[in-house]
Amino acid sequence: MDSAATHAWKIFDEVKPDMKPKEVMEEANRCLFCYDAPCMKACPTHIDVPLFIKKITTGNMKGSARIIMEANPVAATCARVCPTEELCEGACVLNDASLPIMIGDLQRHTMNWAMKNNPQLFEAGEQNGKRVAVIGAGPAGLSSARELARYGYQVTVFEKQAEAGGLDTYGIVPFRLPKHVALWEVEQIKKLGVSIQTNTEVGKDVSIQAVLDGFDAVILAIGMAHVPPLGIPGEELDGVFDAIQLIERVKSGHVTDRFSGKKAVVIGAGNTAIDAATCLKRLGAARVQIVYRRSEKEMTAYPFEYRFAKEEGIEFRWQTQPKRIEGDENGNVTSVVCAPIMLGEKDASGRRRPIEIDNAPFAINADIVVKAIGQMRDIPLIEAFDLAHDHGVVAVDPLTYQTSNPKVYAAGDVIFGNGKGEAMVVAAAEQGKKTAQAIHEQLLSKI
Amino acid sequence: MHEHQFYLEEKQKIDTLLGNEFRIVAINENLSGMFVAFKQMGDQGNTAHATLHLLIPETRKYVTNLLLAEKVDQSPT
Amino acid sequence: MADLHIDFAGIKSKNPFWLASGPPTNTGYQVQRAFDAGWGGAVWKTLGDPVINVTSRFSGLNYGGQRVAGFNNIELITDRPLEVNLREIRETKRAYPDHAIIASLMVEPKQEKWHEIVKRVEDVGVDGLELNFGCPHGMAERRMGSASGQVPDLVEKQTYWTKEAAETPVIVKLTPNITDITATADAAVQGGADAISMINTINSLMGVDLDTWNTFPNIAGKGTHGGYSGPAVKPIALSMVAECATQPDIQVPISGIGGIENWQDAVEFMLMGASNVQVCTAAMHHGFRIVEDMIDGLTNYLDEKGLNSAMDLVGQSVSKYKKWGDLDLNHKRVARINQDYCIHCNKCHISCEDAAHQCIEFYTESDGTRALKVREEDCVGCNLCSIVCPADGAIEMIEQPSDVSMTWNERQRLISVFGG
Ligand SMILES: Cc1cc2nc3c(=O)[nH]c(=O)nc-3n(C[C@H](O)[C@H](O)[C@H](O)COP(=O)(O)OP(=O)(O)OC[C@H]3O[C@@H](n4cnc5c(N)ncnc54)[C@H](O)[C@@H]3O)c2cc1C
Ligand SMILES: Cc1cc2nc3c(=O)[nH]c(=O)nc-3n(C[C@H](O)[C@H](O)[C@H](O)COP(=O)(O)O)c2cc1C
Ligand code: SF4
Ligand code: SF4
Ligand code: SF4
Repeated sequence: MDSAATHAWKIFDEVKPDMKPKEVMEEANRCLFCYDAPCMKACPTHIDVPLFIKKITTGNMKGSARIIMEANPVAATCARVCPTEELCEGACVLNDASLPIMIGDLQRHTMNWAMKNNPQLFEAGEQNGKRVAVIGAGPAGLSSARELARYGYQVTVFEKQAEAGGLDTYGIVPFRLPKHVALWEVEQIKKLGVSIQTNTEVGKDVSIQAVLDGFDAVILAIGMAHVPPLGIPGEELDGVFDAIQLIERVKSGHVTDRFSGKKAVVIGAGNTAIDAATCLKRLGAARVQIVYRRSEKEMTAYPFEYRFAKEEGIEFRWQTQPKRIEGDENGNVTSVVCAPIMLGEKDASGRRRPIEIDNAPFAINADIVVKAIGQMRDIPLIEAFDLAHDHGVVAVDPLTYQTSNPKVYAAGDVIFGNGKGEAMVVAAAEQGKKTAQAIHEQLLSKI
Repeated sequence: MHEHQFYLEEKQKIDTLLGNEFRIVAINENLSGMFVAFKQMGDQGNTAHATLHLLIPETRKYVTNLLLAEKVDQSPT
Repeated sequence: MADLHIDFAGIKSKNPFWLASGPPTNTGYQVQRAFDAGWGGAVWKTLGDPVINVTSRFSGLNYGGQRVAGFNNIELITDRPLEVNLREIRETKRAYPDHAIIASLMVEPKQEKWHEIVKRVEDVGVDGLELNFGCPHGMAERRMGSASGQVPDLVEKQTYWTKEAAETPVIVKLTPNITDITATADAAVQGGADAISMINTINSLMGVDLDTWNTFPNIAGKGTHGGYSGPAVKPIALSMVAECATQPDIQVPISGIGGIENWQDAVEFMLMGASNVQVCTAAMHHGFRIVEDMIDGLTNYLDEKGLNSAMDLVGQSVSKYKKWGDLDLNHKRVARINQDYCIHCNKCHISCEDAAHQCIEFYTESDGTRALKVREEDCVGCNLCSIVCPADGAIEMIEQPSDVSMTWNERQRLISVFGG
């Protein structure tokens, strides 16, 4: 690699260093080892937080790693991307008395130890002769596969991408979550005998019928798809990008100078928008503005992400509605024309309804426009499976994760409906685990 | 404190005596430290005496290591 | 995976972790909860004539923001009638046949009293007996506990009386409130003890309230000396175990007690000669669940060390524990400061300057910053700087090998030839 490229990669290194040994010991010993601890209850996967921290204090790192991964098969990822202020750390009893324990950082420390030392933590269960297909190797699919393997199932995971891990591998920016972390978790699951068939898209490379016929149960864990169109003129211009595809390219090693010195506008204010914006900044963009039609209060990005974005020099333009993208004679983006927004009454989602002020349009100069207004659903595939759904959100029994086809289960972003919880890695992991339990309970009688 | 300096000085005195064919003939340790009596045992039949008052723990250890070395040296024969 | 089973003087236990006699082993309910949590055995709260306790009973020593660095109690033995305890012991033993239940006993120093209680507790199926010659408060004023445990003759005689009646192994629990614990340990062995356990609690007064001038704890404005336990007593307990383990006359197994909180503490006691360990204060502080990491941590440790059994640890460090006179005077180590890790608090300098040998000096680096360096030829290797240094890795104690060793005893022999 030449030095420019090396430099380019450096800026994509994980931003947050591991805790220092002294920091680890001081912090771990500060934990009260609460009984019936609220931090544990606030973790969607219910990691036994006091116990894994206690094990750090006694130098039992292998035990610490086992406690964490027992509850959460993608815990190295979660330690990096979980909104801990909203979850475990937000619930820590020390919030009131002093400062909350840095649970995420301690978890990351243990998982870093595990990634370095590769202890054998789990074993595949004795084969019970049943086969389960998992479609999609994101956190939901991987987590269900790990649990099923431990119960003794023969598990085949189909993944359309070249590498497993889902958005952990392709979607979350490398400086928050390096790809090798997600791939290590994939490795741990493979070690239990799970077969992961990458470059294999169900519905294309493998038929739906083959999957339904060849397995005793099927888990649909396909997540969501790409960013939907903005539906405004100029979207086809050169310089307009889909945020998820952009991040995917960076995570796959395509660092280009396409964005260097450019003025970029990112449309949307969720996880994806922030990740895309900070990514552009690292790719050399001179100015990055996030444009959002509602206000700071309504944005869906987490406070820590918002903080991070501001630290990285991202500018925010609230209550701004893009109306059209303008280009030059060569078809390159030159600006985004926007309308200012007034906020009205609360709508169904509980957020104030944006009302456009028609007669005051203004233009933001831009060479690059990135769309980050949510994700689409793979409705054709869901319908090909003949599953009940609501706008692409697959309907499931909340306890068993069974879809309208009793043989097919669904977990992760594919069942995540707007307004219901958060699309989070940790939620996907928990659903994967629960789905595996439900399948085991259903099939147990037949073993 | 530069105790090592004092050690080197005391050791120097011992080494000088030993280099001049003096040998340790008596040792007395008390509240004031260690008193080592030397006697010259040269071929020329010199019988000069000397006594060193050693204060520094390192030198008091050095003296006994000299005795030990002599024992160790002699043991094979 | 390593095997944690132990055989303690014939008492089998699935792991070396027992609850010591105390509040956590007061009732069947508690002991059963403890067994469910994973404890291998429990020494029941000391049985004897039921007492009446005072309120309050405990006090904790907080140190630098950490609670329970030490713990003080003025609780006596069981306050429940013997029949109630025996019924619960019988029930618990029936429900948990694979767990060890030891009855701790304390009665007046009379032969018939010991005979009576031994028969009655063995009747309900205990795996062994522990004689409590330890409690330093209350019971001692009634000539029991440490009052009888401090007199070797009484220890020997009472052990002997117990052995006359006992069919199960007899463990004698020793008090640390004595100058030389090997004297009473030896007396126990002479009396026929199958094992010894140590330590019980240490005489202590936790503190005085600066506003009210009352003691901690206080009972209607009055206090009394109590028994000290918890992390702070561990080094005392460990040395007493080591003293006994290095005594050639004391060949019986030792149960290590005092300040044990985790598997690491347990390993230390076992390396120093204990065949198992008992825990009281840590279970009071955190609950029975601490045993999970003790079991898990010990298993992982043994696996890492390539050892098959926890018993393989027992006594491995005993031969390293010597009399002062057998230590090598020629051994030399010096402190060295690693600038990569030093955070420039200068604590090592002031400790060495004011309390050691004045050999950590300031110097100026090429870039003008001030830093510290050890004048190694004057360093006596006392460890003080590395003990106070807050930055891991900043001070390393470097071994400086010497060709020959010379102990104090050897030195004195050499000098004696010269009239020294
Ligand atoms: C930019 C961005 C940032 C985010 N940041 C965070 C964050 O900081 N914290 C957090 O908790 N969450 C974050 N999320 C959300 C999180 O990534 C998702 O909630 C989580 O990955 C959902 O997991 P999943 O397994 O359901 O789906 P995915 O991770 O999307 O995995 C689905 C997998 O299925 C595969 N697939 C799809 N169709 C097929 C098919 N037909 N055949 C075979 N394979 C198929 C896909 O290739 C993919 O690998 C972020 C998301 C994005 C987009
Ligand atoms: C509150 C309390 C009560 C105790 N009661 C008894 C007892 O009844 N019998 C006994 O042999 N030891 C008793 N002990 C002593 C413990 O068994 C143990 O020897 C001591 O506390 C040291 O161990 P630790 O540091 O793990 O607590 C008691 C200790 C405490 C703290
Ligand atoms: S709530 Fe806080 S202090 Fe209590 S166990 Fe959890 S992390 Fe530790
Ligand atoms: S610990 Fe329980 S019994 Fe003791 S004082 Fe507190 S509430 Fe009362
Ligand atoms: S005590 Fe440690 S950190 Fe502080 S100055 Fe000395 S070497 Fe540096």
